[in-house]
Amino acid sequence: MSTLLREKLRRSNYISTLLLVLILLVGLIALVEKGPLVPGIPIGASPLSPLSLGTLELVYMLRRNYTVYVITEQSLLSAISGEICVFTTISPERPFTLEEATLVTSKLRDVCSKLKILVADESTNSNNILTALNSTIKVNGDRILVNYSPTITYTPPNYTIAPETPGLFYPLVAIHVDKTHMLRLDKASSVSGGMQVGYVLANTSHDVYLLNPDGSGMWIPPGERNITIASREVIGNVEVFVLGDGSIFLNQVLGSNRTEYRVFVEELFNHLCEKSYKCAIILDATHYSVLSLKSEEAVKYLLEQTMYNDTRILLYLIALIAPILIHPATWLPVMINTITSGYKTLLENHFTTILLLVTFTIIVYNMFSQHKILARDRPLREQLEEELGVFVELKKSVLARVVKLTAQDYVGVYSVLDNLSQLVWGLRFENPEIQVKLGELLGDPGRAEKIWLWIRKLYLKATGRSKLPIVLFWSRAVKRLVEFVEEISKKLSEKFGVEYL
Amino acid sequence: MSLLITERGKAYTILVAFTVALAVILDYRLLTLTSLLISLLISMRIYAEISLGVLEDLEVEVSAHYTIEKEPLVVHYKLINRRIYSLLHAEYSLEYESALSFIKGAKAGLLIVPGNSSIELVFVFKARTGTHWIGPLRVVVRDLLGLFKSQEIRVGRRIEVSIPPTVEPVIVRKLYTFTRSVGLVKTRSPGEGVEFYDVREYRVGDELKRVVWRVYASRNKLAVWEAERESYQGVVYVLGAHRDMWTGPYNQSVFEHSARIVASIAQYTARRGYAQALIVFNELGVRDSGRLVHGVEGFNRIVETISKTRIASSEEVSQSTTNWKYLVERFLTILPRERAFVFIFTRTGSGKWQYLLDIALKLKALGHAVYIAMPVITAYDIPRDLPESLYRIYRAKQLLLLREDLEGIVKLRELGVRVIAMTPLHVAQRIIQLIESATWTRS
Repeated sequence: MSTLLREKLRRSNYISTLLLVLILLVGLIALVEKGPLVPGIPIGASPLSPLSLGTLELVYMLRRNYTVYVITEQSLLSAISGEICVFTTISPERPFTLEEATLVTSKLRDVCSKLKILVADESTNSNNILTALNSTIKVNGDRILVNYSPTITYTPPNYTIAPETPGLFYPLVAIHVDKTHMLRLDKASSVSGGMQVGYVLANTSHDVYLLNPDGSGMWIPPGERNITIASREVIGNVEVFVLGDGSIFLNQVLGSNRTEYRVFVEELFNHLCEKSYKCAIILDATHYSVLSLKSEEAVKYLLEQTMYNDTRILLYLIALIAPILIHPATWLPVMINTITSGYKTLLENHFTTILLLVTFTIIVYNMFSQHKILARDRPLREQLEEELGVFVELKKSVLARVVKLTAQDYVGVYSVLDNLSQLVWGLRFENPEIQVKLGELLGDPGRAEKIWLWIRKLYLKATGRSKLPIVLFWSRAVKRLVEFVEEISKKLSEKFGVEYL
Repeated sequence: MSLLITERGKAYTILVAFTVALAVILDYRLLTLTSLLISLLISMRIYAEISLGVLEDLEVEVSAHYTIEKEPLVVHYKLINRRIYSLLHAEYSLEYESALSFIKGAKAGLLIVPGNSSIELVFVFKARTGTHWIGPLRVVVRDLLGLFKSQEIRVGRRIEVSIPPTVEPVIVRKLYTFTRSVGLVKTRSPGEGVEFYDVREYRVGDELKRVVWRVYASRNKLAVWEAERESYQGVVYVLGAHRDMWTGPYNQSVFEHSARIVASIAQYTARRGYAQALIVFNELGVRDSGRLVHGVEGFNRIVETISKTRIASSEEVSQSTTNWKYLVERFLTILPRERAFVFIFTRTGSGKWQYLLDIALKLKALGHAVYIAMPVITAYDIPRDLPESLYRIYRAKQLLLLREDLEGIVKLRELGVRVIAMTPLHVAQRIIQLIESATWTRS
């Protein structure tokens, strides 16, 4: 294997990339299978809800001092540990079944040394918990109506509640924990059984009614107007605290500028936890409805919530919707469906099929060729041998027959002859005495004279100083001059033993 | 080094890609064919990669055997493959200096180096004077179908060989004959010196340390050892090695001829006891043999300096020029105070005559005798292979090129510089005549 490939493989992250892709794929499928982490909007007094009717504020408040568990599944109860456990349920939307209640209480008894139950509910949804504990306390599920300025006289039993009637549902109550707290409740229910620790504050000038779940009302005579709103009971080693209203634990109450509710809540939990840092508070989140985001109810509910004009609610909504939108379960199936249907549509058309084929071919080609550089498959160039010297180019030109002899060449060869005569005889060739020297050299003065005259005549024409002869082929003339030069050179060589040219 | 894809490989890859596309988009039954095609592509790639790996790991031993110019210069490339895979049909081509002549072997071909074995490639050149480079091998590997090929990989190292000029016995013999026949031989005479001359009878005043006691013991006569009178004559050869000095047939170019003449004269003068040195200059720089040295050592240094001469390539010629200033500096460093002969072998054309004139006048002013031996380049290039119709044209153009040299000679002579127009004949005798006559006159 080549060094580069070895190095490439050593450094390569093919396997890790492949594994990563596989894991991502598996994860994606799993996510799609599982669905979004937040499947919808929790409604009611759920400890997961930061909306005005939720109890997330309570969770944050309690976490400052205690360990808080928000139970979204009953199986999570097994993971709880603590010396004191306070199981809290606040206005559950769905009722506890007896099996559920028994299971919850038995599990908590197993994992906690001391168990305490706090029920803050204006409905009968939590009563099964109390039943499971054999408690005598019950939430009656009615509504306490107090008219603090009775100008209208209601005549039970024909009285029908108009929910929009202001001030009618808000009884002022006194609840004793360590101290006595005066609080105004919302739609509260009366509580029966156990030891009364909270009651409605009403005097003779007020009208007090109890409205049953079936809509029938009951006027309470003045002597019985201190209706029980909170009770306490100890069954075995389980302490039960029941409050006929969950509204004082809501975000809108704890987040308001009224401090008495916070003080009460803190004192209540301090009391239940016995101020022990080993206390675990378990908030039930399993008995609240969750609206699917697709449902009309959810949209309606969200719109309602936005009416409160609270920035936190808006942020919560964004945070709630964003993971659902981002989650592959939302877009992946849609995307795959779209691609598949689009692909099928494309294949129906011949032109697009060809286009697809070409595109796919290009992609696969690039994948296989890995952008390798194209090389022409030619044999290696052999080392050429070079002829050195000054005549190489000249020889090539002559052999290519591109060289022509001209008058300038004649002048050039003549100047060689001129230099030669200067070297040998110290005379310029134009000097007539040269005729004598040439005659001696060639051994024929007559021929020497003729040659000299011919060379000079043509030299004068070549340099433009004469017009004769009129008709002349310079090529022939130069060749003839070269012949003379070579003859002279040869004779000189023979005579002096020196080669000049 | 990475693999490249050939045109064939590209076409094949397109075919594979198209088959894959068909299989994926239109008909999955083509997947079998696609798999086969892809397997072939991958196996060829792996084959080429393995071959490339073997090639990269090849061990190469390079050696050269040579003596003197004109003799064979043999270069061995031993390729050792220590891996288990064989290197099959790798293509190679040998790089060497373009001025060298390859005479035997295959300078390009196909290689097979079996696994865990070695092969040896032998290349034979005709040696020529100077320093020349040979190697490395350029090698390319391909797969069996030629879908992939490697880049050119250089295998082995480049070696440099320095070939000395031959001393022509004919020239040396001619020199002896010539000097004796014209009475130029310097007569040996007794006197001050270190070389042995003779043993003679003792005379009054002879130093006792010169007495040869062996003679006294055998003949019972006092005899003394006598030295030869030293007659000093310095000779400096300056050899131009410009690219145009390499004009002419292989081994018979102007430079090589001049180098042989210098070597022959240097051997003659070494035997005659003259001190001598050499400077070689060209476009690449100036190199000299150091200060003037007597005898064989002087000759050896000269020959070695000539053998280190490199031929400048066309690119080097276009990028650099002769450093005449440095040449003058070298002269001043190595020339002795006494009168010495300086022979400059170079062309006078291409504007060189002005620099030569400057050097000649400076040296002359220092009392040295300077001669410029100008090779007549046309005498080295007789175009016998040209047809008759083109011969005259070629000669005419040659003479035009010679014109510059001749003009240079004329100008130098007019300005008092002694110039010898040098053809392959007689120049050695002329130089010796000048040296010997000067020495003879002095002694």
